[in-house]
This record gives sequence, structure tokens and C-alpha cells, in this order.
Amino acid sequence: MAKTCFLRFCILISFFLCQHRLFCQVYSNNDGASDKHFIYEVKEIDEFFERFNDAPNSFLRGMYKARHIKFNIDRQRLIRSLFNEENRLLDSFMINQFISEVTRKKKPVYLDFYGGNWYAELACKFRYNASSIVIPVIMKIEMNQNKGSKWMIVAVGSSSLKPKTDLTEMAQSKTKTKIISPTSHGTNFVSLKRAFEDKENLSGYFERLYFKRSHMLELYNAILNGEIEFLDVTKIKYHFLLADKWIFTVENFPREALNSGWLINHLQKVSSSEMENFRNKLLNGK
Amino acid sequence: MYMRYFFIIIPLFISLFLYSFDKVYAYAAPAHMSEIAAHNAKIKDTVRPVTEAMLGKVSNEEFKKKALAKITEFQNCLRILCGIQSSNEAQDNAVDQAASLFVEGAIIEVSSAHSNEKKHLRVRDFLEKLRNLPYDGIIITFSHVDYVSNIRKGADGKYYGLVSFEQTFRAYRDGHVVYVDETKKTTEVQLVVYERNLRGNVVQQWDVMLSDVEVVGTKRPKP
Repeated sequence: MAKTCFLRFCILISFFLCQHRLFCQVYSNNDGASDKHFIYEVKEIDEFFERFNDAPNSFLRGMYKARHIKFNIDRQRLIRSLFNEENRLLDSFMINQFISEVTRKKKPVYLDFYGGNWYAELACKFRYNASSIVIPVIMKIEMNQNKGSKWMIVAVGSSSLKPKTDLTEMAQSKTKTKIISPTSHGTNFVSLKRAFEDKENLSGYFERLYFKRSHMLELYNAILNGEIEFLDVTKIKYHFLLADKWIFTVENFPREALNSGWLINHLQKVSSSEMENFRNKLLNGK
Repeated sequence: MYMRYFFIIIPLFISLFLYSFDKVYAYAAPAHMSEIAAHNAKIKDTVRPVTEAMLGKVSNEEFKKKALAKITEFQNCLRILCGIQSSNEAQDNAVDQAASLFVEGAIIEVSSAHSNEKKHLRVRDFLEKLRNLPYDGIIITFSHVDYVSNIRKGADGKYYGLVSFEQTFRAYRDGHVVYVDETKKTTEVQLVVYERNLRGNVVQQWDVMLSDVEVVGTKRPKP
């Protein structure tokens, strides 16, 4: 009798324990599971920076602290978790080399939000000639003298756009304080809608120094003359050019796994001349 | 006889104890609608770029705390707006209060991770649309955790941040769930400074206002 009772007890215990583990791993409507997913997902590119740099005030560290759990994830593991695990084309040897180089004790490499060596590549959808076209727009965080920052259009990719009028120079922006805020990336650059409707200050959103870059003036003219209408941003990629040696691309992977959100989907090791070629191609289309 | 109960209850307690680790509860303060709406309306009139001196008085943590409080206020408005027991007057107030939390010209982009369609709505249009949904009842629940980014100074002198949270929306008809969706909302927040007259002295104070919002459907809706 006692033996049967003990066996039943063991079966019940293992049943409840298994159930607990299963709920932790599979996402259902359970609050705990969705909260856990929310904690580990790289929700914004800002959080990507936090994790890459292992910032002391990061969201992840904050969550561990709030739950009284010791944070024993080192920077190497944090960076490894920023790679898209589902991309079989990522070279694990190269990833290891990258991680050990950026986390080396002597001269570790960190990402700088205001550092200038990263770009947002936006696939912008416009209404044009009764249909829609996608124009690649390259944006960059720029800082001004008062240490304030903003997103600026620094290059435009090729498309089938052929503006009717041809201007050779951009007009001066009327209000200098109209900007695309430095957090616009978090809302899928929806502020571009407001910026492209603001014809008086349109030139203020473009980097005037580079207006001669391929397709830059074409896009400016077409928006100014109402030949195209901005609809939305269909995709965002971030390109990081790091330590004159590494180029990686971050994309959004909204899925139910813990390895989700903004993740590295492409990594390459380059020479300094290859890096300049990459930058030239991105900014000048050649 | 008693032994059998003992063997069932003990594992149940163990199970409950294990589950409790997965739950983090946040305090949701009740909204005092008219008071807050009037306060926010006042702020809008005197909004100006943040001065360096003012920012010195605001820590990143204070900014995050206030940003979260605004999000909670917004969430409470949504609950009132969708509540089956809310009167028309309460819903009108909830629309006014929610709209007053936003800066002028804010845009809400609604999309789904499973389709390419994106809609852009002004805040009031978004709220009215939510209010007029053809269901007998709607229950909105929010994630227990929110992500708040660091403050970033804009070239226009204002300060910006981001807040992300998740929301589950369940719609009922004839007592049955007829629609469920899960969305991730990211809201841009702005630190604004306003002046207040306190016994003849003009005092600078600060507040956080909501700006553009991105709403992304994270799971396929279940009709």
C-alpha cells in the first residue's frame, strides 16, 4: 500500500514539474511565458546597443535585478545571443573570432549610437503614377553643436523614379528646429510621413552636403513637386561598420522564440579598403 | 483517506510555487480623468525646448518612471474606452484624456507582422475607431513588463525616449470570444518643460508626453 502511494506521489510530482518546464519553453497565452519572451526579445535597436555593450543600466539587467536573480551572463554570451540563430549561412568560426575581438580585455570594442559608423537602410514605399514604388533611403544619426541629435537622409538608392522637373540645388529649410527625432526608428520612421508633407522645411531632413549624391535630388524634387506620396517604410536594415574590420547587418525577426527581434543576420570581415568600398556603395550606389 | 489528499495537495502547492516565479506584477494607478486632462491641456500651451539647467534636475530614472506612468494612464483610457460598462460620458472623457497625453500631430501606425498593409491614423481617429468596434465587449490586457529606452537629446532641444509594451485584445459577442489579437506597441515619448505660476512665482516644471506610436500585430488574429 505504502509502495503504491509513494509511486503515485512520484508520478504526480514529475507530472507537475514537466508541466512547468513545458510552459516555460512553449509560448501560449500564459502571462509568464509572454513576459519572458518580451524580456529576451531585442525589442528596439536601442536595446541592441545596450546588450552589445553590456550596459550597466540595460533592460535585461534591470529585469534580473527586479526578480532578485544574479546576472551572470557575460558580454561574450550577450553578443552571441544577438546573432540570428536561424540563419545557417552565418559562419560560426567568424562569429567566434568577432566576439573574441570585440570583447578582448586590452581594447574592447563598443557600439556608439552617436559615433557615425552605422546607417539605417529603409525600404520606403511611395505612391507614384497610380501605383507604388519602393525607394531605398539611407539615414544616419547626426549630432549638432549643442550635442543634440537627429536622423538625416544621407543617401538614396536607385529606383524607377523619374521626376518631371529638375532642380540643381535644395532650398533652405525655413525652420531649423524641425527634425526627424533620434528615436524615430522605434516607431518604424513614421515621422517621415510628417517630414515629407512639410514642404517648407523639406531640405532640412536631407543632408545638404551630399545632395549631389546619386538619386538624392531626384527624390527631393519628386516629393517637393507632389509627384510622389510617401506611404510607409516596409523594411529596415541597420549596417554597422566596426573597428575598420567588421561589417554586420541587423534586421528584425519578429518570432516567438527567445532569439528574436533585432538580430545580426550578416557578418563579414573586411580590409579597410573593402570597408570604404562598402560605404561608397551604400552612400553613392557605386 | 487523508494520505490521498496529502499526495494531491502537496504537488499542487509545488506547482503553484514554481509558476509564481514567472509573474511580475506592476502597479496600475487609477486615472483621475478630468484633473489630468485639464493639466495636460495646460502643458500643451506652454511647451518649450528643454534647457540644460532643467535637464540637470531630471534623472534618466525619473524620466523612465514618468514615461511609464503616462503609458499606464493611456492603458487605463483604453480600458474605459472598450469597457462594456462605461457610459458614453466616461468614454468621451477617456477619448479626451487619452488624446491630451499626446503631442500635437502624433501619428499611430497600425500593421501586422503577417501582412504588408500599414495604416496611419491620427490619435483621435484611432481612439474613435476603437470605441466604435462592433462587439458586445472587449477586454484588453497588457504585459506586466515595459521596455523604456534611455533619453536622447534631439537637435531641436527636446528630449526623446521610447516605451514598448505588449497588449492582448479579446472581443466578445453573445458571451463568446470572437476575435483575439496580440500586438506590440512602441511609443515615442517627449520630455516637455512648461511654466507654472505658483503664488506669483513662475516655476519651470517638466512632464512626459506621448508622440508617434507603432502598433504591430505579433500573432495571427484568431477570428
